[in-house]
Amino acid sequence: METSTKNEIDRISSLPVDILYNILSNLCICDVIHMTILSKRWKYICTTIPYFCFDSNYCNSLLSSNFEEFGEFMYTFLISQKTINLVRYILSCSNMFESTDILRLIHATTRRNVQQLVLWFSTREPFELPHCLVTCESLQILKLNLCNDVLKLPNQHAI
Amino acid sequence: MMSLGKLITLKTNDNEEFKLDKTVAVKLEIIKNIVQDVDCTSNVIPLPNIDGKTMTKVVKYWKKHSEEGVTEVQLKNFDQDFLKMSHSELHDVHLAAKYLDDNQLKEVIIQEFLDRIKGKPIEEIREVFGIVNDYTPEEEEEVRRENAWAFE
Repeated sequence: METSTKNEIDRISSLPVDILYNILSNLCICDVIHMTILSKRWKYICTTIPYFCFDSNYCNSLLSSNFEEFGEFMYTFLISQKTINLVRYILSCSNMFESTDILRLIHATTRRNVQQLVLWFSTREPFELPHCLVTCESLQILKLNLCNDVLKLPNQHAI
Repeated sequence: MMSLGKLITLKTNDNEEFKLDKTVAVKLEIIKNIVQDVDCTSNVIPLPNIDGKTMTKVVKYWKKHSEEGVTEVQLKNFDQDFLKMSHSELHDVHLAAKYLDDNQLKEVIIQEFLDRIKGKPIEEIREVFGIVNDYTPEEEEEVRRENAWAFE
């Protein structure tokens, strides 16, 4: 960049929180978490961000050796910030996870009052839409791609 | 309402004046509101939060983007060139766009910030943006350990 200098004062960190969230909102969560070591303020921003985006197609190498840790992180990320409502949660994980893991994540997103939920996965067996999604009042957008698996709707009496 | 084609003047906090065709200016919510609400006999709109240097950039952007018959490719090239500014300038334009409620310009700036961050090593991001590492070595090690999967 022609005019940037090394001595420039740190103005990006002083941007309001919502703008920093916005800047990071389209980044893969792996990149976001990577940025927690920039500084204390960035750690705060990166761990309270109300957006989550993960696509296993782009993070294969990262996850082959750390798969279990990552799975645990996914859940911890959701439950550690109970008071911040989730604006958007995008998870594209083909057949990485069992349906019980997926259900656990879905439950956690609804407890965080998720507004937009986009899930792309395969469990290789019929997947029953959890009831919490039907009753989740904050939910505005739900996109599901089950890679040709069967989707079962919850018992209609319960709706 | 004033007739089309009339000029209005935007006056920055350092008294620089920008004359804009009203058809360009009223595309912005904030200008539209001021034009409708405040007495517009003088046709001068004060912008107390924006300086002349920043406003020059904003106006340049508006003019190009409201040019008649301008093509997508031309706009893309223009944007690329337009965004070649320092981080603090980018920051100033962002604040101006925020004040002027110009969502398009805000988005463009945010995307540029993102492009400057994406995929860069941590040291480089710190250096490029002048972010001060306020961790002690022990704290930094602890942060790495917390999410070790992301740092291997």
